[in-house]
Amino acid sequence: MANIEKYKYRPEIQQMMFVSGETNDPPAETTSLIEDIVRSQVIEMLLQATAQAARRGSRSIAIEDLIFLIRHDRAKVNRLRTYLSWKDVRKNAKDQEGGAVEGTELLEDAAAPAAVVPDQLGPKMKYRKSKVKLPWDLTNMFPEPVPDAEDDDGNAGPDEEEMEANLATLQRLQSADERTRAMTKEEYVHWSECRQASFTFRKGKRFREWAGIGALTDSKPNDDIIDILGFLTFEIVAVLTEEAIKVKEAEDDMEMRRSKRTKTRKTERFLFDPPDEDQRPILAKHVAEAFRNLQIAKPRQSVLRNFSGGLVRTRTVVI
Amino acid sequence: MAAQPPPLAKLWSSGDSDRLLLLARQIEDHEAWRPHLNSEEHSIFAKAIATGGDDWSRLISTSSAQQMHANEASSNDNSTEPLADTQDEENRQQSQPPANEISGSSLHTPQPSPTPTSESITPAPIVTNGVAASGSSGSQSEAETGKDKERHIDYVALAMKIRYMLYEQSVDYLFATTSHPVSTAFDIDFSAFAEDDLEENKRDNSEPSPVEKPPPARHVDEDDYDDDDGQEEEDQQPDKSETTEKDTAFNESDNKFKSKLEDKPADSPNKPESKSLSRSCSRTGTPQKRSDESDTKVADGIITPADTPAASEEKQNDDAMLKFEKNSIYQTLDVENERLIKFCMRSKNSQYLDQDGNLRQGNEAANANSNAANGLGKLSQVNFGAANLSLKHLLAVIDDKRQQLSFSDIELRNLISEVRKNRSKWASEDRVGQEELYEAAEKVVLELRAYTEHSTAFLNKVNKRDAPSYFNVIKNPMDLGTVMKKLKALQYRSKTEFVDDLMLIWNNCLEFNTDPQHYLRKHAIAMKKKTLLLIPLIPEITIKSKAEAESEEYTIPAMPRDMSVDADDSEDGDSIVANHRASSRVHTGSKKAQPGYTPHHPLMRRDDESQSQNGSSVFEKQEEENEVVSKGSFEYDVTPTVPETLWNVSERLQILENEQFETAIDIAATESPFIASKSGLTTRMDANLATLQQIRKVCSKFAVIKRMQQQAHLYSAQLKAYNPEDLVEKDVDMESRLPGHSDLSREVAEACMQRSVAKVAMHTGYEDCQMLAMEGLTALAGDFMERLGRTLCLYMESCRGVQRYSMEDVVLQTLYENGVYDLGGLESYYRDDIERFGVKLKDVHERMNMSLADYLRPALASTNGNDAQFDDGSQEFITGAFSDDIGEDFFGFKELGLDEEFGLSSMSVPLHLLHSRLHANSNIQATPTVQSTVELAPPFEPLTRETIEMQIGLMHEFLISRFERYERDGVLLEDEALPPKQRNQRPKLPPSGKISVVKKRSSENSFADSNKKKKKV
Repeated sequence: MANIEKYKYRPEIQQMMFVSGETNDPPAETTSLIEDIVRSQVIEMLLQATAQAARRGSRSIAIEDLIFLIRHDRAKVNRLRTYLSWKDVRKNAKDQEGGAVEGTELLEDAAAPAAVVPDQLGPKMKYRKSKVKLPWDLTNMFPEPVPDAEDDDGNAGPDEEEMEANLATLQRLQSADERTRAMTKEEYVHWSECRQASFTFRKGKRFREWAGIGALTDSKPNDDIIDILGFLTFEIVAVLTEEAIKVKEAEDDMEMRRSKRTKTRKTERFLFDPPDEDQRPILAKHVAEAFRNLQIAKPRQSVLRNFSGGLVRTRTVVI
Repeated sequence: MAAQPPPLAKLWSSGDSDRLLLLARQIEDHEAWRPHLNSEEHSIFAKAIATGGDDWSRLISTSSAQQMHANEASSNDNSTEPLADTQDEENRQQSQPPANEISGSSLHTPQPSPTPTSESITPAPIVTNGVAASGSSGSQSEAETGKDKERHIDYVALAMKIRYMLYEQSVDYLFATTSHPVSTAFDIDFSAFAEDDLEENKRDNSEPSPVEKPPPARHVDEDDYDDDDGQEEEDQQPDKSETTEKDTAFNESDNKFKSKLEDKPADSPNKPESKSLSRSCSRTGTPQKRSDESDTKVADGIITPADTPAASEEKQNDDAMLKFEKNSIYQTLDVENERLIKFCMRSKNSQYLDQDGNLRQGNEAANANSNAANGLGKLSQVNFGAANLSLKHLLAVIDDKRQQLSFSDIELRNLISEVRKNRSKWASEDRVGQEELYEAAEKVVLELRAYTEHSTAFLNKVNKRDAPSYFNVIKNPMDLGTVMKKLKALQYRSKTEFVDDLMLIWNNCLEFNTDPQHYLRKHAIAMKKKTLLLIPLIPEITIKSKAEAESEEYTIPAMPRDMSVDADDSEDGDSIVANHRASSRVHTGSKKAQPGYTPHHPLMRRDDESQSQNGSSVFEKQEEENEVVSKGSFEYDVTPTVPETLWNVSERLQILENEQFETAIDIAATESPFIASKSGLTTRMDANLATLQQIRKVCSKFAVIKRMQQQAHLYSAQLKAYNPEDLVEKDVDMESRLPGHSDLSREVAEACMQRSVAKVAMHTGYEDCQMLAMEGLTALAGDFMERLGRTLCLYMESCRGVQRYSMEDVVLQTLYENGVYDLGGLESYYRDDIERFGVKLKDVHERMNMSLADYLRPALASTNGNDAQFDDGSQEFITGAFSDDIGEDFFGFKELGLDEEFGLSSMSVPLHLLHSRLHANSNIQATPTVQSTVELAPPFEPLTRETIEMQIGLMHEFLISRFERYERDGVLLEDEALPPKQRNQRPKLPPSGKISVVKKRSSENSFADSNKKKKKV
């Protein structure tokens, strides 16, 4: 790599990929490609969000502008909302307890196996969880504010959407649980460290520089925006990795079939054979293919051009 | 009046002595006579009761009181003779009790006298009013009875007392709420009276013209007669007597009546005062009427003192209006006699002129009847309200008596339109739009007048003494009083005229008081602002005379005419055309302005049968089917331009057309293919939409309440409640559903699509949208559907290798190509956007309702079910909201017909009425500003370049330099007239007169202070 210094997030990306299912150490090319993709995605998101804000008549990006970009992915939106409300809880707790609560706890929660979660949540439920309200919610459809539904104990009852988000989270936690089941203590420590990898956490300044945020937006986006971007970048890496693994498996599958047909080698396996192809890490080509897949997946814009031809302009799809 | 037991009304209207006796016995049993009679009188009373029968009836009729007196007390004969004379007279008037007894009808009414000889009746009013003969001191009989009184018990007075007592007791029973303690313990057994009712009814029916209980409103005009000169009166006498005769249903023979008529001129001394009294009483047929009588008088009496000091024009106006209404009602009711009505009209006209006199007399009457008024206070109030009964009841009565009336429909209609209840004083038949314009204009003027902070100076004309030069400067003076006068004189023809006058007031003030510091300018500017706020509330109306408006109306219908051209063709054709007009509309609550359309259909099918062969391959089959059905049947396009000759329709065609019409009827009965079937998605969406509307309704309630809290004044126009209609999907018109029509007509399809799109848009949450947007959406949706169809078509025609696509594949591929990537998307749309959306909507609705309830009654939340709401300071009694809970009509809205008039859903006072009332109170407390009487010095002559030479030489240079800077229109502006930025900043002198240099120390101090503060921090 000519200028390897350009890529600053190799360890984080490696950790994220590990958490998302890549067991081997990916080569630098892969991580660099992923980093490039992530950066382009971040830039794209910021641009679109800025345009959205400008349409609103505002110069600075609000949380809503970012969420609006991913609004079609309901599960992701809900996850993000949960994330934000928990962040709020954390902040409140910090204020009240004089900063005793560690900032890492949030990610700790997510990282912990499902069984542990309720115990940790228990005391925290005391703090009122403020729900992130989105302008396109039903409650904002009417000229008068709709009062919050309140249970007897004054807590907002669990929403259906929240339940949905929880469902997705639980599924992730379950798969994580299965993966960690066989781990040794050291492995688990490593795993949990990897869970904490983030583009932005405690390196907000680096992130800003890396993504060129100062050049993209007029006003300095606030910490909330950066946090959301950190959350979303993790999602991007996760999605890319999962897709790339799928691509690699498909490739391996094809390779296997071809090799079977041609019957060249490895028809039999011996004790001292070198490790399997399975051990091959995800290569840059897999990631590129995965990105391509994700990009072409839903060309909704072009649908209206059916039968009429003409140039269809496509934008980068926000993953 | 609902509380009045019928037996009592009957009792008093019939005046049956037997039944009065029953009542009297009850009174005797309960010793309720004590407040009315002394012991001596009571002994006679008791005796009469004990004896019953003739003695009793004689006693109360007073006619035979003297005889009784003669029998029992055996007094000297001297007094009997003159008394007998008067009694004779009375006998005649009092419808002759002996005759009554003989006839068995027992119709002994003491009050109603059919005789026109009003002057001789004087004793009768005394009887009826139950007042000892203080009112009519001049009459002869009074003198006689007075003489009698000296020696013995005055039997006439006694009879009157007893009657009064009886009446009093029954009244007490009627209005038990305000009764004095006697009657609370005193329960009259009315079943006894009720028993006789059937019999009584029978008798009544057998009588020639049974008017049992004439509507109470008819006597109100009695006062109006008072000031008519004698001549006119004598003209009226026979009429009146005739009506009275009929009214009171007396069985009087014509002969007797005539003889009385002859008597009349002989003894008419024409004393105006007694006349008024006697007249008013001469026609009181029933106690009911009588109470009305005293009622109007009492009302007049009350109004008069209030009016004299205040002399507010409005009140008088209202009063006049009230009378006018009552008069009109009277007219319509008393329609039995045309001449009478004419007279009423005349008297009505004269009424406005004679109002003062009326009031004076009303006052006198009120004094005379003060006794009665005390006793009947409650009754009169109720009747007063009853006089305002809505027109509905009146019409019902008229309908009942229709065959008895000699009026044509038109006459009746004219009469009723004159009385029309809801019209205001501005209403005018001849000037269209006047009512609305003047109503609003008056409101605005009153509002401005009530703005006392600033309005004081503009209420009246500028006095020349106050400002001698005023009229030199201001050529068109104007003030609020003049505006009001002009309003009353109906001088405005349009909103602009009215607004111009208002603005003229403020502009005049600004023009005259040029000093920018002048206090009046502030007032004028404030008033101007207020006016500008109020102006939008006046409707844009230009008053037109009726003739103009009508001529306009005739020119308008030119447009729809083309549709009715074929009306002469046949009835069938006509009705079909009517159906065309009722074209289908996309109908949702918010999108009202959907343009109707009449689908353009293929013309003259008959002629191009061959056309069907050219149809596209896909729809060929369908077209053929249609062709089979529609063979021979055809439609023709009707336009006014088609020459007359084409209308020669052969018989065969007419038959065909009839057939087609019949099929149309058949179609109407079957389910339309153009409406979404009521199942699945549709029902859910409909339910969601209904919930949405409900929520919006709650929201609008919130908004109204909030506005009430914030805004000073509310107009009912601002309080429009959001009251959505139910959503109904309208079918396409009948014509396009005829079998001869293709289902695929572009216009029909588009309209249907638009309807569906509108529905979806509304479901998404749009409350309203522009028509253009809706059309754009529809076009997009149509485009999409078209592409779907074309893709489908392509996949069905193409093959994968040799094999054709399976149907499932075709559909899936089509959907994929058009953006539906998996069926999960469709499913999640149904699940999330419709089902879950509905659940959420319901939840939101519930929450909104709850919070609205909390918002309205914060105090009630905890103590529901207790009587806490009736605590001191609670509004429950003002709003009457509890009347809903207890199901009682607390304010009598129903009784007055107000519930229908205002469309009240509950029996509480509408919130906006209350609000304005409360606000009116707070307005009164505002203190008026005092207008200064200091005269302003005349403004200086402005300096021009020419006049500079006349100034002191020293000043020249300075003035010229000033000119260079501040010149405007060749005039040097005064400093005050300059815009604030250019004004010379004069150093201000403190009151001590010393110019003090800003001391250094202070700044040091402040610095030190700030330092200290910093340290503190």
